[in-house]
Amino acid sequence: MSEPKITITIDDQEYKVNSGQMLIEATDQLGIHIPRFCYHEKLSIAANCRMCLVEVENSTNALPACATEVSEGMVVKTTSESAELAQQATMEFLLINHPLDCPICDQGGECELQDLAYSHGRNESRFEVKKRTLPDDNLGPLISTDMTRCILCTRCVRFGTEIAGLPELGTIGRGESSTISTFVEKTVDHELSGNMIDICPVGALNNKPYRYTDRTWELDQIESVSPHDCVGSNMFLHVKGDKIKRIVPKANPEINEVWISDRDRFAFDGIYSDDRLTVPMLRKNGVLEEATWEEAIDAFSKVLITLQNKKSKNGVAALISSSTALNEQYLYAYLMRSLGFNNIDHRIRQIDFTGDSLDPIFPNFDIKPHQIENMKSILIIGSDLRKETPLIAHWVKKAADQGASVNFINQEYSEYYFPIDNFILSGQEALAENLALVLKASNDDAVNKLPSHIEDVLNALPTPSLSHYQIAKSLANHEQSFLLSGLLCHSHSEYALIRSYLNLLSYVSNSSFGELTHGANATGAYLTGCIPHRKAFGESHELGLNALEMCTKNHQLIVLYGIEPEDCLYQEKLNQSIVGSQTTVQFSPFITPFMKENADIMFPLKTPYESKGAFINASGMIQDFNLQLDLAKDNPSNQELLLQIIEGSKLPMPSLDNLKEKIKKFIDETKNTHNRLLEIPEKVLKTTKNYSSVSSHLYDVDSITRRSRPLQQTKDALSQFSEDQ
Amino acid sequence: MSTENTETMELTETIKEKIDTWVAKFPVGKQRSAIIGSLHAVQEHNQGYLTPELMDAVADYLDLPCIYVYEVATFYSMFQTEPVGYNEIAICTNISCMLSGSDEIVHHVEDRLNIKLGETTKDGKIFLKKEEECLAACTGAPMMMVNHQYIENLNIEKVNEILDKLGQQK
Ligand code: SF4
Ligand code: FES
Ligand code: FES
Repeated sequence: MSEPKITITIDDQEYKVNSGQMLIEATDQLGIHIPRFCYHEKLSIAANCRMCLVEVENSTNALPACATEVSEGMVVKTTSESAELAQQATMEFLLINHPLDCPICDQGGECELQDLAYSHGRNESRFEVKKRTLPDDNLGPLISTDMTRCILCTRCVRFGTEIAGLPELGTIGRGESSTISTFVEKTVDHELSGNMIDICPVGALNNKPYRYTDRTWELDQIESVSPHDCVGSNMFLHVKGDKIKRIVPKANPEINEVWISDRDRFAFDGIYSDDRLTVPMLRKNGVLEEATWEEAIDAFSKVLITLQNKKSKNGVAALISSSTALNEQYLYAYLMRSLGFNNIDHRIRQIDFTGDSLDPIFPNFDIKPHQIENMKSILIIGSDLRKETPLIAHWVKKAADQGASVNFINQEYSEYYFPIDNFILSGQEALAENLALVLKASNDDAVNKLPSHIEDVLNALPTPSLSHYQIAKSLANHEQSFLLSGLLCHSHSEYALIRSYLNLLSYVSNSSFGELTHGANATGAYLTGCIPHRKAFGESHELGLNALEMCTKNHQLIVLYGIEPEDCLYQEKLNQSIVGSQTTVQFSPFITPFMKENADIMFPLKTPYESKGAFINASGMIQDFNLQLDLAKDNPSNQELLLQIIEGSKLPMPSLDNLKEKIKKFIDETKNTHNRLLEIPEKVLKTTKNYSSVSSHLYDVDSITRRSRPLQQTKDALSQFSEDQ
Repeated sequence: MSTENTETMELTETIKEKIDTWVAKFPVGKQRSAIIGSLHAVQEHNQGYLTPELMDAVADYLDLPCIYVYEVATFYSMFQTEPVGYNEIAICTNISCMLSGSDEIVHHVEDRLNIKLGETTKDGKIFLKKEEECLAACTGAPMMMVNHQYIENLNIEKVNEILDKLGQQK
């Protein structure tokens, strides 16, 4: 920002600060602390708590720093007697009604009120009046309330209106009887609502599953990355001993600002599910029994070596989850490829593979998440955006709130809390066509530059509607334009065609393009060779079977790494293939009745919450997670396990040295060469159309989320359940 | 943009018309300002009180989140969110009236009707408003408002007369 600098004096020292900002923003940047409750950098200014009062020369009263704009020559005293007196008076006022229950309050130890009461409060209260008490609302399974502690700063109310866009809490009543409530008995359901726990400066809104389980000062804080979507939100795990107690956001202005989704915050509960697998299992005489690691590794290596010797390359199917860490993906692909098995894939929610040969080196996403905010025109295709990636939806909302034209072509209508210009509701069968019509509606000059076979395709289409024209125009007229393709496109039976049209449209309208992917590390899966048509680093390779082909066949050996059949879009097919295959091996943190019946070897995996590794988010940003929790003592890490299997299979040991650096370098080198293929191959046009109903479920994205008790009690999860009935 | 998906009730055409005139008084997109007027219209047609269903219907009609309407309805003392008696008595207890003896009036009315401030008589005839601040009739203190009419310079006899009259109503 190049706003003019002005000079102000704070506590006898001169500073140059940007004009147009509030005093508290300036002091925050300068590292001068002014106490506050209602002010929050990401929320509008309410100036209702008066904790930030400071002395400003030439003003008769103390002024609130959060609502006083800096001006040239301003002289501010933040610790003068009159400032302190004003702050102390505010504190005394707030404490008239605030209960003294810090010893049993979860916020104790991290409470802004508690801290400021130490520095600004009196030792003893001068008030003898009875403190007010308030009833508590049931806000659902994620947030607990102790409204008697509320200081009415309205941060939570403003969060609902401004960040979530769905005002669920309000200030009910007036004066002494004001209270924060939903008024009618209802839960708070927005997928970002857990953030209210963090922004509440006192213990009024707290983390419900964590309630009364620990004291904050006994927890260790460990950096991590969310394993539940392709955004890669940064977060802190709060850990005691070997147990995760809760998760809070870690600010990353390029990815998740200061927020995380409820999925990121509460899913970890799933790792403590009763059906956790902690010891290897081996089928002996028809019964799946506990085995030692050596036995299990030995048994698996033997199967691998036998099949390798038989040269039954096609007898092996190797599936892997797209939320697996980079090092594990690399080793898994190395193991399979080195033994000569080419049927390896992570795309178990994709059904159209006709475009494989046109695949970019890794899925396209030209910009970083935060850059979405600067876009002036956005077209979203085939996405239930809020459920797929709550934080991408947040960035889109920010763009829309700043006036961007946001448009959708979607098969279902879901509610969005920002202005939408055009919403083309399109059946699955018409999704690709609607996209093509936007292309057709684009400026002739640009379209004329396309190869003639594409012109023929476009000419055969009906006339575009007004909405198509408006979207095309908006994309073309704005330099900052963005096409976002969602997870429903990925699972669409014309995925390749849709992607071809997106490439063309992005070329014609000169827009950036981004593709959401399943899981936390689909980019990594592409780059490490967990796809049948490429080896690590994008090298093309002898073609293997894709995920769908694998699931429609029986095999001599089928291996599932980090996958449960429930994760698969064609679960039924996969189940049949497991039942029909000779040997089934599963690497999994959990054991289900179905797998117990059908698996021959099972290896317990550590979840990303318990291991070291890295994910690459949709934008190609590599991020580490570094926690090694010992859920079951002495179990090898996933990486050690894979290395032991590689050793057992008599393969040369691969080097993992600098893997991350090499991949980062590779991404940097190839990112800009992401080609916009200006063609639609014959076979893509002739895809067999086979539409199944696909919908995204917020809390059914992976095995951990499915097992999270708090998330499964939310309205979102319960309504999905009733849908499935 | 109501926050609940449950079917909201329909407002009558007369009420909608009244709301429309309120909406028209404010710039486009500022219909949040029309909440007060709309709630008055709805309350008048519902025996003097509002229900969550009615408030949701107003929110729906104005295309606003329900909570915005709840906030207004609970903030202003002129809106009731529970069923109330047919007649409304609001005794001013602010400074001038208090100095002129409003406490005594309140006690007398409470005793005679056998209810506390904020309650309604068993027969549903009289609702005694919880609190009423200065109604700008200090010259005639103590005063009260009965069905939106000012009655000033109160004394016990005058109050009795009024209560008798209200009591006789069918
Ligand atoms: S609940 Fe917390 S965030 Fe909300 S108004 Fe009260 S103190 Fe502020
Ligand atoms: S922080 Fe300034 S008034 Fe609350
Ligand atoms: S104080 Fe009662 S009317 Fe003013």
